[in-house]
Amino acid sequence: MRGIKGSPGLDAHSAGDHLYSYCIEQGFLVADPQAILPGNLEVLVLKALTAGPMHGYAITDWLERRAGGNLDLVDSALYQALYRLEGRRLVKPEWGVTEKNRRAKFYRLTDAGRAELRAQAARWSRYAATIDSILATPATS
Amino acid sequence: MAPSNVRRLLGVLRRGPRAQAKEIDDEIAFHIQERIDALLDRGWTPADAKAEAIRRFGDLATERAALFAAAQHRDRRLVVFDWFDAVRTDLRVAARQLRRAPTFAVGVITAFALGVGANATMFSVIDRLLLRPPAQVADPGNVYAIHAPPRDAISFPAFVDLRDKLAGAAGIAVQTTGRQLAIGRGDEALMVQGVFVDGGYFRTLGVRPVAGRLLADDDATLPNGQPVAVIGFGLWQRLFDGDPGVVGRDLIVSSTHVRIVGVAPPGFNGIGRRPLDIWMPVTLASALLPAGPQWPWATADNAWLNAIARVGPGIDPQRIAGRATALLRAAALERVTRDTSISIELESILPSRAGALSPEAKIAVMLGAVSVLVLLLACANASNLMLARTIRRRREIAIRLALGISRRRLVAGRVVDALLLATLGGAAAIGVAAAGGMIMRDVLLDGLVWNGSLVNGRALGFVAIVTVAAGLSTGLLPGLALRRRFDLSGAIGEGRQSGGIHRSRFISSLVVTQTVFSSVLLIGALLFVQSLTNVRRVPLGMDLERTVAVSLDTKVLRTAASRADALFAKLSSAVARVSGVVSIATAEGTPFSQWYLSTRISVPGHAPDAPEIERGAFIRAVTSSYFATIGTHILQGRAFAEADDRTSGEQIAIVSADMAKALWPDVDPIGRCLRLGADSMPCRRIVGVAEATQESAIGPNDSSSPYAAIVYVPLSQGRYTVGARTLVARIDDAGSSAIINQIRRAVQQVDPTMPLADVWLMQSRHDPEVRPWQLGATMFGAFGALALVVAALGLYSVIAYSVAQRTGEMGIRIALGAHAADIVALVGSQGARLAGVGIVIAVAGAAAIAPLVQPLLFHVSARSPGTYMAAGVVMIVVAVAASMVPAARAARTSPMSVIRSE
Repeated sequence: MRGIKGSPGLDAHSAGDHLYSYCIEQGFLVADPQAILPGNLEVLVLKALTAGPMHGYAITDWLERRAGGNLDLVDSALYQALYRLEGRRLVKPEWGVTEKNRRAKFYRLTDAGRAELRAQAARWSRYAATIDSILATPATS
Repeated sequence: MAPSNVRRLLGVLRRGPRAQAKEIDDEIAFHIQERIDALLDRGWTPADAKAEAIRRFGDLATERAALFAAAQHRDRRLVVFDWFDAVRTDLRVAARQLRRAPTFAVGVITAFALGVGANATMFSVIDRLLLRPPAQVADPGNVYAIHAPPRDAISFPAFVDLRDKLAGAAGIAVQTTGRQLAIGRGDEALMVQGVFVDGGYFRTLGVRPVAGRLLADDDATLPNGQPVAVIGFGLWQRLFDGDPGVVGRDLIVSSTHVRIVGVAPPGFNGIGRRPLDIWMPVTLASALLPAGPQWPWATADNAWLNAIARVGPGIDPQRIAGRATALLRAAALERVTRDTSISIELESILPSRAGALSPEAKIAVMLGAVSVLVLLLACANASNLMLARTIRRRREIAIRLALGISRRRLVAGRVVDALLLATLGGAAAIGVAAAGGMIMRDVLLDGLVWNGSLVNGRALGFVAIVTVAAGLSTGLLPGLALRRRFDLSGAIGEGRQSGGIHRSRFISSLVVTQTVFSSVLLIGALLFVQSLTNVRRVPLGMDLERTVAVSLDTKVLRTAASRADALFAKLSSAVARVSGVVSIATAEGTPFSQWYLSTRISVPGHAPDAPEIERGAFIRAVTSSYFATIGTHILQGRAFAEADDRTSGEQIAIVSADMAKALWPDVDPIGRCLRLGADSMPCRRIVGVAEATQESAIGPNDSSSPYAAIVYVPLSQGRYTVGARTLVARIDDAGSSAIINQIRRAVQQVDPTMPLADVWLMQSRHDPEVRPWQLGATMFGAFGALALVVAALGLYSVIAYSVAQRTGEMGIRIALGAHAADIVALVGSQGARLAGVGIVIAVAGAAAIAPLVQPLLFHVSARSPGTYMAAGVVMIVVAVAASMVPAARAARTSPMSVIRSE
């Protein structure tokens, strides 16, 4: 396990260890992270972009912070999601420059993307509420 | 289109796989670098940070490939999206522009509608006349009609020989030509078209019945066969409402009882194009035909059957023809008949493979070519108008180009524009095609079979294809002109001359093209109108518009001689009492009736195998008032007198003028004699020469018409073919249907139980002969006028544009003292020059294709200089007239305003 500030740790190959070590970075421990359900990654990316245009790493970072280690985020999967969104014209790419003066590809939410985000978020809320209400009903009824 | 979209589209389009890969790599590299930085911030060592960042990304090799695939998918979607966007925008823009310039839109759409619609109509016609095989015949490619020139018919024994002994034929059948037969009795009687066929006819053609059964060999066994009939689908619907119980029902045909055994499938008309209603066995023919039951229909002398052969698969029809010829010649030698020099030819029943095109088919092909010309004209005109509009908007286009729009997008915009117009025109074209089809079917091609609806699937498909092609070519043409020589900076600036000269040359050539087409059509129209006039002026030798004929049912007439005479005497007096009837006559073998009676002739001093003897003659037995009634003049000698009309009197004859000229070219025919029939017959003395009569389809060479040789004899000296006897009446009011109806009523009243009498104006049977020329003249005339209007519009727009370009020059000329007349002459001469170039090309083209058109014309040369000159003059006049409006405007240019605007 990789430790803090350079101490040697276990060789981490498995996915579980991978996230475990990440969590050490952030400073807290959680149980095993969950895979993201298909389709949800895209709506999460859309949500991330409501804050403003971001490049790919910024989106990853934003999501990792908000997820708090509960979600298994794979970097390349994120980019695939971004390309899909771009193909559907829900985000628009622009090449720009970061504060560090590096050339990066920024993604901006389009109007269609905003509408899609609203629609998907509403669907998710309804879905989650339904599941919750069913699971919450007492066993006897 | 927003510029950013344009840029993105350009970027997307320009991204090749290498650029795409680089972009992905850049993105991945950036991501990993950012993560390294984040880890470094948290105190990781550079080496560890790098390894961790790479590991966090995933297996680089596979992920990179996956991202590459995802990026390609994305790009494909974007291209499709953008393409749809572009088309949608173009359509919106095009629609908006159309609404702003409705006259332009209406003009182009109308031109397209007429062009495409006319083509669709001609396609339907050509399809039906030339492309479709006879309906309901199995494997028609192997079925052939047998011809025995100069006549098509063979005798019954010849048919039996072919059927039983011809090797290589999968089946031989015979069919007579269609005859008019009366079904039913009295007022409910109906005239239908019937044929007599052998027992194997339906089997050879491979036809399947829709109800009951079809004729079989048993129905036609000698000597009398069975009194059965097969009715056609149309007749079944009309008369019996499609009731399947019709099988076994009794039907009265020509006063004979027959039993219906089955119904033929819809659309079946044998191997021809004329509709047929009823099929009966050949054994029944003698009972129903006028010649009567004594007529020796089964002997080798009577050639009255048209034979059909089905050739075995893979066998060459020419070899069958050769074998048939040998077979029949050998049989003729054996039987000592005339057929020793018979020669058999096989002609495919498929119209596309038939030997010669029927006159209707030839006209149809010509009209097809004309429609294509009209369509090209419409497209040229539309291109012209669009190009002019493009040039007017060249500043806007230049700015768009400067902003980065690709030329391909510009051209695509033009194409969408044109396709929109073409589609609207195509939709309208369907209506035009339906109307055209109706006109064709009812008015111009009346009598030919027209299966199916007015506009069927094939025609619609044709319309769609032509519409798209027209739209594409019209849209691309201006686009191509635009791409090659477009001077951006010059166009954005105020320069009026930029590209002007190049543009106007292109437009001018389009207008010259239009002029060429219009002139060709004009020439065609004039030629056909002249043909029609000539045809109408051909002396018929009869006054058809004033002659009404009354034909009775043949069975009724096949009674003893005296009763037939008495019946006709009653009819004559009844008809003579009708007001408006000027004179009455009786004749056997009347023109345009069903029955032409022929005879062998022999003339002393002429060898029997001389052509004028061998072809025989038509015999017409007439009462003395016949010539005056029908309007045939006696050129020499005298007509028959009442006293001549006796069996016991001197045997005399009157010959037609053509026959007299052929038999006695240098001497006076009066007093000569000729024999009709066998050599034992008396030699009749010629007492008169009658005007030649035109009774068959008018061809370019009427002296070879087979009906020119007619021998008239007094009625009682004729052959007494009562079944062919007709009453003819002369009326004083040409073509009056009131008088005709009165005659009909008078005839029925003589004997109400008699089956339907056929009362008809002779002109009505002659009209179809004139139809091809009428068709040509009408269609070419209509198209010619249309083309003229379109060309005039094109000329007008070109001259107007050119004048607008030259306002400066006009102003200077006026300032230097030119009169209005000079300016007008200047502009007018420009129009005349353009038209002149077009005319010259058109004349050359028309002269080149003249041999193709010549067979369709009548007594007018396809290269007649008078016609060409007339067309040229009309074209020039139209061109000058079209230039007058812009010329007047140019003459009013004020030099001061021109100088001020410079």
